[in-house]
Amino acid sequence: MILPRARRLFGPLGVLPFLLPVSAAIAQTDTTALQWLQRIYAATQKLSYTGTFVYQQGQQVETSRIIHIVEASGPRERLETLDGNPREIIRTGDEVVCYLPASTTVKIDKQPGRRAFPEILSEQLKDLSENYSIRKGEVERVGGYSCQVIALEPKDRMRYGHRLWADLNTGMLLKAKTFDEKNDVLEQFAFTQIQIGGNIGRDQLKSRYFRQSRDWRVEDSGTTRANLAEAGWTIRSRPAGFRTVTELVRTMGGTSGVGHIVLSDGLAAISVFIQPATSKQPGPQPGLMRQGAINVYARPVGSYWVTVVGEAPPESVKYIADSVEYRR
Amino acid sequence: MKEKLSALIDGELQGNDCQAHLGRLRTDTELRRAWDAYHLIGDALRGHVGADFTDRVVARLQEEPTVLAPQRRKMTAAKRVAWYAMSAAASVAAVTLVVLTASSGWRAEPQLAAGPETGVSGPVTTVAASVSATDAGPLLVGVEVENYLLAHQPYSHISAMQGIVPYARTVADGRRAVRK
Repeated sequence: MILPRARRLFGPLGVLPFLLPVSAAIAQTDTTALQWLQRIYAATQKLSYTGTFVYQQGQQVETSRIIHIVEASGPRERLETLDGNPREIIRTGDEVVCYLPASTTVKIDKQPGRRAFPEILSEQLKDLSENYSIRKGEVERVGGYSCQVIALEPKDRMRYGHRLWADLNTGMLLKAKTFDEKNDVLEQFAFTQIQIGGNIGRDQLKSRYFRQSRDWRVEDSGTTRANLAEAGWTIRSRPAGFRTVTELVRTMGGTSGVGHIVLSDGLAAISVFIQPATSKQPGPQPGLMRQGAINVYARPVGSYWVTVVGEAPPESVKYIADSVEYRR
Repeated sequence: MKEKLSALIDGELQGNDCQAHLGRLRTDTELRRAWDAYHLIGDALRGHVGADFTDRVVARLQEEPTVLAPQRRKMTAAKRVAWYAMSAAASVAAVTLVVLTASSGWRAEPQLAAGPETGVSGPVTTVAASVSATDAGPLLVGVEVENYLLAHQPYSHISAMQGIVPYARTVADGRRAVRK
């Protein structure tokens, strides 16, 4: 189990109670560990880097290359897979463009009303420390860098545990593992090579499919904010600590008017998709599916499909799916 | 047992626990194979495995006799991959670089009670070349799940920590949902 092992691992903690304005409910959390989380969040906003990382889930390992450049307007990123089908994802501000050469498709997604980073941070850390015990671990090496280990243990079984490795000097997250309740690793991300700072050419942010994708099919999600409660959709009950972050309407896979409710516990997010069942689009596969730390559960509700997707245990995802109701 | 092993490798076992496990490691060949495998995976993740390693694995696999035993017709891709993998693992002793490009990332769970599966016991070995894309089972919902994942990803706070990195999930190749 994660608890006794973690305790043995981390030993007595040096608690510095005055460093952060956090509530007493967070007694189990080491405040210096919370500061490390702040550093990690800040690092993605402030650092430019380029590197290669592996994503492993189950028996599958895939290598990707990433370029992350921070400009005055915020970070711009490009990710491309090095194994299997070539794919590319480019993020600029709140817009994500996904190039899928195998199906000659470009997918565009925008996050309307995305809030600025510092604004969400304090709120997020508060949620996070109410739902997880956060502790500082030892210093370990990853990709040639000495890293601080941070362990996030879930306070109940409705969320997964995490272990993070952050570069001692910059706070850059170099490795992350997600654990289930048996302390088995569900998935992990790890940099095998990274250059932090220095000269990173902006031309590397350009899509390699930019030219040839001109006659590809474009799927734009056309996402807008929405009030789904007003339309009659409610989530009757939810696992402790998960609250609604945003409500949207989008086009997905050719179906327009798909409702999207996002719940979060400060770390893990769970998305609820509400999709009208149409004759031309087959509904999702009912039941539970899983990839690494992501679980998907779909069920029909009237003439709609409710599909819940999240980096949370199957119990949580199913619980939420079963709680979705339509009342008019 | 495997969990203990990983604790041992991480240097998290102490005293009697550590001694007992080292003893078991001396006598249990399967456990020792897992020990080798874990170290190899670690090396691979740290980029210490050279190209010649993969070449050696491929060469050894090519020496493997072709298995002519009939397969059950309804074997799913996941089982098939595992089955190939284990036949390879049995004879290639300390091998374990995991390169499952045609595997099924997506698993349909038969029932919730089963919980997250623990996977094939022991190290799984295969190389991309040994499993062709045509070996993969029925493709049911890959594209659709991808749509959901892409839509979901930006809202994960884990993403806020890792930037675009978790999108690797959505571009993970060969995602196929397999009915068990």
